[in-house]
Amino acid sequence: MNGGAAIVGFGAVTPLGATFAETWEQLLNRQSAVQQIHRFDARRYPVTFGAEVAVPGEGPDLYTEMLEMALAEATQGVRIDHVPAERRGVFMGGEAIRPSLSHLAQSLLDENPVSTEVWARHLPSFPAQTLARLVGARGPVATYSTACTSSGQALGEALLAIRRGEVDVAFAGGVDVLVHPLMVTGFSRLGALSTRNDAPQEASRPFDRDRDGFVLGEGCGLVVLVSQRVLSSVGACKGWLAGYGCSANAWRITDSPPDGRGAAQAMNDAMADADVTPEQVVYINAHGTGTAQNDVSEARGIARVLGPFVDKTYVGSTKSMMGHLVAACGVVEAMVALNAVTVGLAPPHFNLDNPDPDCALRHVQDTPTPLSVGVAMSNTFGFGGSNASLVLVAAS
Amino acid sequence: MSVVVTGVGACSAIGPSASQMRLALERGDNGCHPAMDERQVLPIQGFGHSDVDVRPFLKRRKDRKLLPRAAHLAIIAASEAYGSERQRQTGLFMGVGPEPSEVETESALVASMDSGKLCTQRLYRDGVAKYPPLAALKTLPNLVLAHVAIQLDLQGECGTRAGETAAGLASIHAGYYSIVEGRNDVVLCGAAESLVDAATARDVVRAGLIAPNESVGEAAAFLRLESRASACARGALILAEIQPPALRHGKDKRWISPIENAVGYCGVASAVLWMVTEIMYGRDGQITAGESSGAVCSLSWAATTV
Repeated sequence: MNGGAAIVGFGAVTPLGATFAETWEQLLNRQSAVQQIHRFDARRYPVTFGAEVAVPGEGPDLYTEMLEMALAEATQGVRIDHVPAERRGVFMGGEAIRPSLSHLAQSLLDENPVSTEVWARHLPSFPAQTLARLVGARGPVATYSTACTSSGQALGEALLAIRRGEVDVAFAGGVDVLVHPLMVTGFSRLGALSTRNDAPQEASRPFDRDRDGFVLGEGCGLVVLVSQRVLSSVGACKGWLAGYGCSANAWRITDSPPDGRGAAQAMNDAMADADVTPEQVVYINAHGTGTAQNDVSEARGIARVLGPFVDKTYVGSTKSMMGHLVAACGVVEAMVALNAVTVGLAPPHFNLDNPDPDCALRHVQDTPTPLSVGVAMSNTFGFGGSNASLVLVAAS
Repeated sequence: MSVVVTGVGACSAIGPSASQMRLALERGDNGCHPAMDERQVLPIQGFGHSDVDVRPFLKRRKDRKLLPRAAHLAIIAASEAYGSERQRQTGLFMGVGPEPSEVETESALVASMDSGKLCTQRLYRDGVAKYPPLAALKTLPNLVLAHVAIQLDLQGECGTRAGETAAGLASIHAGYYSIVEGRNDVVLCGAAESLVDAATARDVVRAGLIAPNESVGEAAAFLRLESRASACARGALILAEIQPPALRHGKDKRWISPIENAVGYCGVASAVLWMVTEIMYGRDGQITAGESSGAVCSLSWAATTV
């Protein structure tokens, strides 16, 4: 394995739980978080369901609350007091903060203008700025806004920053809230969402022949990455972020290339970066959205990359149980992938009743599947054709 | 490793290319003009519109309907910087602004108002039909980058840096290290943003990003970066050498471009636009740009006299 960054902590708030530990437990318990929307009355919307977090609030307050919860979990047993502020960095994936409806209304009324402070709390950089304040970072602070790929890229860029010696401790992750009237409206109008309003828990069907779109979700994930130089003084190694690859499809805005070339390039680059070979990868947490073209493109990309080992590597998508966390999916799914190859158990993949023959892979089924301990890969592929793959290695 | 600039591209209110911008600056042109429409009520002195036509740069003319305004500018400037020697494994890094304000969705929101409040049931009943199906595809920040990648067929490493002026420079930081660390031989890096429509200009004022009676604009600016060895091997003209950039977090104030009077405040594109201008003049330079998020990027370059 090439010089990776040690992961000393991770935390998450997802539709399945208020912590990563709870999320993992719910995954293994075969719980789906997809249900009727509670945050607003969605009964007459084109899509009435989603995967919501059980955290009260809306707008920037909800983002901040989730960040603080994830940070509390991620920093348990982590000591950074002795690391200079200039050697701490923040790398966050995010989109613009989905505003509360009252904020939206206010923003439309000229006689009641929104203040500078309120406006700043809705920028994509707000989570990174908030996190920098919470962890006292004076090193690089950056926001990556590449839709579904955002937090996958944030982790990858944090790895690069540690390798080049810009920081010793990197807080990397993403946060997003998609279960929002405008998002439901917008993605419905685009035809990207599953419309199984009568059976929400059957809606997210990655790689299934009867898939009809993705399920909007929300959440937050954070990892604490450290250089090998300070590892022993900061915390216990829970695994390694060992490789990162990213690419552009340069194909179409809404579609992925049918041959999966962009996805394959990101995966190949990530494995080369980590200095691992396809036969070492025991589990891939796929982007697996459940949209018609993404799944075929990704499956073909995976098949190209794994070659003769395509029948040996397990592939699963946890979006089947917790929906699509968009800017936060990369970090949460990377943690799931790392945990899977650490404990030797892949979480279930729901709703794969009729596997699409165009997505022929060794799919995880709807029960936890034993794995070898070792190397995992996590994919995130975003709208517009931004791809990112991460290689994660269990702590030896 | 030495990282050099072998191409520049820009478009703004004073010209649709870097070379035309240079001539305009020498003439003392000012591209900012008072608004003659509903934007008159805003405390903004002038609006710097770029007079550009993206159609000659598109693979298919019908792609134009999908482009957000910033993508028009970005495709033109990136094409100029890229030049004619192209290769698929070229990297692309862009500074991008926040999602445009409610420009695309404002009609849906207005139709959903009830006594000064947004009503979710009205959004369904009256607003959804007014919500443009392609709105989501015009507002995601990374789609400006995606359109550039598609039109120029760039399949290498890519990524955005979201924010204000510092994010534009951070794209050069990303491109610089992509070459130094051997992930790409050639990288296009730059930024694009359009702040001239009514809703976005209103937000610029609210955010305090410009002082009262300053101007807003729109621009894109790109650099083509490659290793000196690569540039020399193909006999490319070297315009400048980039020094190692640095990122940090601090309270540095917004960097104000010396050409802001002529082009208006161009958000994430401001610093890269100035850099392109200085390189065109063969001048060395250094910029340290902060922004409201606390992100700070410092960058310097040594120009080669052309």
